[in-house]
Amino acid sequence: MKRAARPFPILAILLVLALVVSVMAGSVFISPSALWQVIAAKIGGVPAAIDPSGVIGTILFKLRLPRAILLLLVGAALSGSGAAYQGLFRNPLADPFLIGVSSGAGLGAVVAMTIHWPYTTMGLMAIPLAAFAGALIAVLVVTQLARVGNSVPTTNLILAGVAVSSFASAITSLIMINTTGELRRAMVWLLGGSALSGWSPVLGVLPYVLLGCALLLTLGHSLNVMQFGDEQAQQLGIPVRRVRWLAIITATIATAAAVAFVGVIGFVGLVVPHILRMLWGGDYRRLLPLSMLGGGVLLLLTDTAARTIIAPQEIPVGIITALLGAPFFLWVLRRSKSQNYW
Amino acid sequence: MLTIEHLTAGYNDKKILEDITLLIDDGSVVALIGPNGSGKTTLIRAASGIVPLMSGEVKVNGHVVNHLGEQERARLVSVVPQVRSIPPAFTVREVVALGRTPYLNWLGQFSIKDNEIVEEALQQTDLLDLADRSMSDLSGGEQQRVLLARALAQETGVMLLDEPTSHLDLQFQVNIMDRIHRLAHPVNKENTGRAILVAVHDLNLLQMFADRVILLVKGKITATGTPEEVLTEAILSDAYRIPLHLIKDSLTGKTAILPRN
Repeated sequence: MKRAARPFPILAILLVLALVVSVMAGSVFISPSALWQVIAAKIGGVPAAIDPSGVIGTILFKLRLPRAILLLLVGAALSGSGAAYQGLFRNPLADPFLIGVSSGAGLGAVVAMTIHWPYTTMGLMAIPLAAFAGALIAVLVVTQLARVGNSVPTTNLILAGVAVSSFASAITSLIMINTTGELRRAMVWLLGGSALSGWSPVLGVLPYVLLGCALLLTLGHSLNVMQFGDEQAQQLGIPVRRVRWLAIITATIATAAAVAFVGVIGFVGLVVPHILRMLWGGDYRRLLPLSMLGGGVLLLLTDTAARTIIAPQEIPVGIITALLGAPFFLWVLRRSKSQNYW
Repeated sequence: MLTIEHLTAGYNDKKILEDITLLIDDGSVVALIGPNGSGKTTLIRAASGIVPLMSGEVKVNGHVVNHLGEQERARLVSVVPQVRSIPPAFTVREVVALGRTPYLNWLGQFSIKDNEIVEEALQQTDLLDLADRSMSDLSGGEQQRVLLARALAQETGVMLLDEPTSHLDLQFQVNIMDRIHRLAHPVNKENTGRAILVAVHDLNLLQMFADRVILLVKGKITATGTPEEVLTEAILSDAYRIPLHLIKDSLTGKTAILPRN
């Protein structure tokens, strides 16, 4: 297959464009010139007609920019983890949502919230840890259920993922029904509405996403070799068990942090790596960083759509990704039956 | 040099190999023959250090392979597996480059030398013209050559090949076996030949490249020696449980093995 040239510049440009569109759009439209003036005034101290500490500046720096950065990080985490899970399970349909990791993380986070961790920075750091515990349990249960010998067949993976995911979601719902008031907030959050605002969720999610993504980026070559199966990977010098654990743990940390701050958002980890793989091939040394960039782009764009389609009301971003992702999932499923091209 | 001493191995308490002892010197090709299910593939897996042993020892150049980490092991022993499913998204060059895995740093970066060795492996296996093609575009014989090239890029003293000619037509069978022979017996005498173990089914073909033959029946070595010593009517008929007729061909000096109906 002929491959389009220069993936990194293309994605970098898309990312900047998505970022600009995302901070411009919303209930108050910020024009490109206003955007430019406010940023110039804020950063360069250039005197401008628009005061950066005025309404526009506040909307930009206190609301839209942190939200955009948060979604960018979350998109990178979900999509990078998706690519890693796909390489790990040698399965094009592995997505943090579909294999139950996200729902496990959601359950962990809700449990943490119900035992009243305060919404302080410490609390914000603790919720991802609880989400991580839930997510790790979910992924381990799913792999154990789905595993046949040394491989994880697609149908098993998806079925086990659906079962574990439903179970975790059911318990999450039970917990939420039995709580009142403040946990209404959790409800919105679980639908992927990113109810949190300001810079504190960005700072909360940042260390986990950076750590997870950085570690995942070191695994590209190992994942390439592992596409030939565990046995050949070992014979080529890959410590398969160690790499598998490292990949599961790092991908799960990144996913859990993402879920802990913006809730369960499905299909990003499926759609993005898939399109990138079709365009630029399956080399994980390239696919992992590209997926992280692409995940950021997709989530920024879907969130912009979620905020503008029926403005001033917001649609939870998880609904938009599901509307796009579910048909895509079915298409991939059909395709992977007829040809195993990846 | 590959040394196996009193090796017993299997899966879940079931012994597949029992009390195997063999030695393959540098510069020699040993053909491993035996009926289906006799344990040839398990022996190759055990020799590459990925099967837990029940007893005995596998040593490569004096190192006990089961005590080594994957990376060190892969610098000493390479394996050419049977072509089953190859991830088609890779190009030929990408697959051959994976042979450098045991020499890469933790970021998986290739040095100039790594890339040179990859090109050399491609050239040795006549794959340069196909280097940028996708694996899915290749024939079975070409894919087999790619896996051979990948093992060459590993630069190991010991190579283990599992039925490298099983899906190939006669021309490719001879072609591959000829290359394997030259790897153990380099034209340039300054290069050390490799120690090579090849599992094969074709008893006629093996005489063209093998220095020695090991016959494996139900997990035990029942005969070992030069092709002339092992390929006899009595030994083979007993091992394969069918009456065979052996004809010494005057033109090639080789023995043709035919079933006697």
